[in-house]
Amino acid sequence: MTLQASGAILFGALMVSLLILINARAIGEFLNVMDHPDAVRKRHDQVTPLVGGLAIMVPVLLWAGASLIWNPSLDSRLIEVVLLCGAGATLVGYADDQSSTSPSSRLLSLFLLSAIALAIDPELVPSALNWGSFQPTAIPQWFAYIFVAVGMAGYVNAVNMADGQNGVVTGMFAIWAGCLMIVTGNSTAAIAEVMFATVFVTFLFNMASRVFLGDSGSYGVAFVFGILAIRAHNRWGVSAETIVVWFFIPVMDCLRLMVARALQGQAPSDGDRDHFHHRLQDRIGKIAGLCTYLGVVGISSLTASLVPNLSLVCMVVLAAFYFSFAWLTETDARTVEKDDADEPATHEAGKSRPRLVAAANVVKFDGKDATAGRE
Amino acid sequence: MTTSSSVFPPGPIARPSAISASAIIVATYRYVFVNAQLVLVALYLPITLAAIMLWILFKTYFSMLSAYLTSPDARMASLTLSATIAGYLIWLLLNVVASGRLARLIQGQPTRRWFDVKDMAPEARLYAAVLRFLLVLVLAAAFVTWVVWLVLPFLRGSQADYVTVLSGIGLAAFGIVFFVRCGFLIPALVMNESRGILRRGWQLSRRHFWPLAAVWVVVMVLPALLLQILGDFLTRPLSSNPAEPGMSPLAAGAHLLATDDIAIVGVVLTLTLSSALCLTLTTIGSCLVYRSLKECS
Repeated sequence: MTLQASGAILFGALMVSLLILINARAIGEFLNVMDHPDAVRKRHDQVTPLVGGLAIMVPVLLWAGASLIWNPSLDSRLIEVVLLCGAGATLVGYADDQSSTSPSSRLLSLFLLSAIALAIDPELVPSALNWGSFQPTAIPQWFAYIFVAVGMAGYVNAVNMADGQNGVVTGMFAIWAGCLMIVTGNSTAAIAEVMFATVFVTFLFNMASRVFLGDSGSYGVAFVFGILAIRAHNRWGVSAETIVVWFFIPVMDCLRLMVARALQGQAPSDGDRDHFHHRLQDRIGKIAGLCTYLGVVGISSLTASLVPNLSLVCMVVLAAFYFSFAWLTETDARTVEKDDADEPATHEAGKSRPRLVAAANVVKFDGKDATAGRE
Repeated sequence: MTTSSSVFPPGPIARPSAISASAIIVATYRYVFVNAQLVLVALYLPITLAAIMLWILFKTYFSMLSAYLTSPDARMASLTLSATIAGYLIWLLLNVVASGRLARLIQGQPTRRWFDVKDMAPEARLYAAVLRFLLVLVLAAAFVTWVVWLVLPFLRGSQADYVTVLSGIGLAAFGIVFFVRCGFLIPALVMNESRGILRRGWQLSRRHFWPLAAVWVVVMVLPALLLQILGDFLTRPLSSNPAEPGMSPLAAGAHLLATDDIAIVGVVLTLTLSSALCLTLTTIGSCLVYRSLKECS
């Protein structure tokens, strides 16, 4: 296929994405995927279509189908995985957008889709973990299957949990697509290019609150990125540390929340306002919080992609940033709670309390006081 | 749970428009001597742990550096750098805990169990502020290095040397000014204010740079320097491990510190003592300067 033909297909994918985004409300109403605000966890102003994921995945799937037919130079197995399993993960999320499905059924679906992906493209099964700072660790094949399936399911859920503020997940998708374009080539880079183009326009519409990504997006797009990351590791020699750096913040946040909820006697899948982006938003404001989130993910991911030898350093710095911020916001919230408990008389008398006023933007982070979720 | 018996000695340390550097210096040293026991009780555990961390850090770093210099390998370099940064951040955390405990003591606030992570809001703010402070310094250094790297190809030999030296001096000057105006006040600010620590420090120290610089030199730089020189002088005879033939001076030094336990303990003790003294005097000085700046403003 010529360069012009590839460009035309890419342009076509972009146009399809724009078409979906411009008609998002009509499509959302037709598909019955509209997100209604409830003033509890969903604090957005108006009913918003959950078709951002479709605006990314539909063109990607169309591109994948067209490439299978007209572009034999691309790796057909990888394209088939993206086409079948990406569509499958999108449908799992779409079903959840329409009427909430159980977390266990979604998890099982992701395991199944990961197994199908590994069956279609055996090259996705790693024979060893390639480290940037250690010698490679050989892993048996049975373990590799379990590792990939559990890793994919965990990662996709982590991305889904991070989808609580406009621009956070779509911004991360754009960053990851850019990184994949840098560190890979051929089919993997071609898919990343299409993803980048469609994710970028969706990011703009998402920032304008015209569309939400929806579970169809967080599941489908994250699944494809997971597949591309495994491919980058297995074929393009991208180190495990580099991939950990890319996904560090959402995955670490997911793990922290699961542990915190378990300690509070809640189910790991319960919603609350304790996510990293919520804490950033409450501490430094909405826009600054988003810029910080994407800035941290972007700078560390690009550094790890461009200078792979610094991946482990990026991991250390990311861990310091993440845990020191978590510690800071946790202790601040406790200070406010304790002041509330210590000074009931002052509070009742309506007298001003400077310390509480100064910390007024700090919310309580336990699940019971959750007041917002998606944007 | 301990509280200090006397917070600060009475007496004016600030006039309506300016702060008195000499009064702050005297009050700082006086506080240390009057409350020496309380200060030691507050600091001994985090500082001991910081010393152990420093020993682990040096041992790891010099072992890895020695291995790297013997057979250079990108993986080893990456691992060495990461382990060093991780160790430094943990060491910094322990010092921050020590400084936070001391600041609580100075302010007359109760000090809790020594490491109850959920009840350490000032320590968490202090660590976050110190990390932000370091980030600004690192970004400034990266920016200057980048500019010099861009400019150097257009310069001749001697000009390039001048630019390199001048950029180094400029960076050092920025670091000193930034520390005196923002970094010095961090321990006191985190105890009294909850947001915008660095910005608030910059605002408060406006028009008071020179008195603050004098306090910084006498309270922090001179004692640390003296202790470091003394420690170096005393521990030098301990390091007697001969270098292997054919080793570069750097490799010999790394090999010595990686293999000679007495030498590394000497270095760690010296550094721990100087950093602990530095931390103690800086925290006390910071609280005094903050109080006098508030009186002035």
